[in-house]
Amino acid sequence: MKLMNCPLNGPRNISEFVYGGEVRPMPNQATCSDKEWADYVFYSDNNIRIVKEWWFHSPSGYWFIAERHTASDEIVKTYDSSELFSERVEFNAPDDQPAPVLQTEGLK
Amino acid sequence: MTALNNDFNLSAASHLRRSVVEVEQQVSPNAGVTISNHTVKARIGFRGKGAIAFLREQGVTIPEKPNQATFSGGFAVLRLSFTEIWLLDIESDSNETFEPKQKSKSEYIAALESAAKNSPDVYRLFCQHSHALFSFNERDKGTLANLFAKICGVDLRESVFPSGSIAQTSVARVNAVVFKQVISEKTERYYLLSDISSSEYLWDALVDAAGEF
Repeated sequence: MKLMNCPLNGPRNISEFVYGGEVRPMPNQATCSDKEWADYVFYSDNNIRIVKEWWFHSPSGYWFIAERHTASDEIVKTYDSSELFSERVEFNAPDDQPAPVLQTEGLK
Repeated sequence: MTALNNDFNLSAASHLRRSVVEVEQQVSPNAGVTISNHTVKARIGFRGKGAIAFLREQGVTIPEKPNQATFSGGFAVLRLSFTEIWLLDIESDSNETFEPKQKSKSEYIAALESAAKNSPDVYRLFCQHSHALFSFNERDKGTLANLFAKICGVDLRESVFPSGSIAQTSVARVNAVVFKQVISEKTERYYLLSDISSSEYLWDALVDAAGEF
């Protein structure tokens, strides 16, 4: 059985965890270009190195951060997201900017 | 789409509670284990940076660390993470009043829900209708630890999992929260919270696992 050390619950079967993508700074969706946003949402570097990733412990509904080596798959360490994020990340556009409009041209 | 009515209090609507499992209690063939269904009893959850301070203001005793539970007044208070607390009615009749509030447990929880609405950084968790709650009583000490060893990967024996401990893990391949209350020197009681949509399967799996005791 493969184990992962959850910062909240301790060692648990890897089947209790869900991968949540790499930890990367989110561009401001109200001001960034489509290319920047697509790069953030869809692409990853896929290099051999130690990456920071979001992981989710499903039974406790708990998101945390794990550092994992992409070649050996070794989980180097896991920790609470408060070590990297001190406040809530807001997704709302600022009040002085118009709400984003869905671009339908060129999608056919 | 209708707007959410902010005056609506889910905890006050006890008639809307349903249990998928229709059985209230099941005794194992050799009477070693009794499994009871508490799904329709009142419960509430809060999460957020202000949740602990809010509940302390309301006079609720909060466990010091995550994954610990305390028991008082017929309630279990579970601290499921640094900033997440659940209150569960676990034992006696839900309509019974309790000191010092002079309210039924359902009324008490409904009042908590109302009080939380305008508190900053306190988010209500809708665990009343999302979860099933089962309890397990044993005739002889150690029976429940053996029962759970068959279906759960976490060691729940007394030496490593004392009274008030919480394990958030898989039980019979379903996500569950298991916590323990020591009733006396001779017996322990376990509680299990799990997603209500798979609770019928889980009930059958638990009754099956208890078949040898």
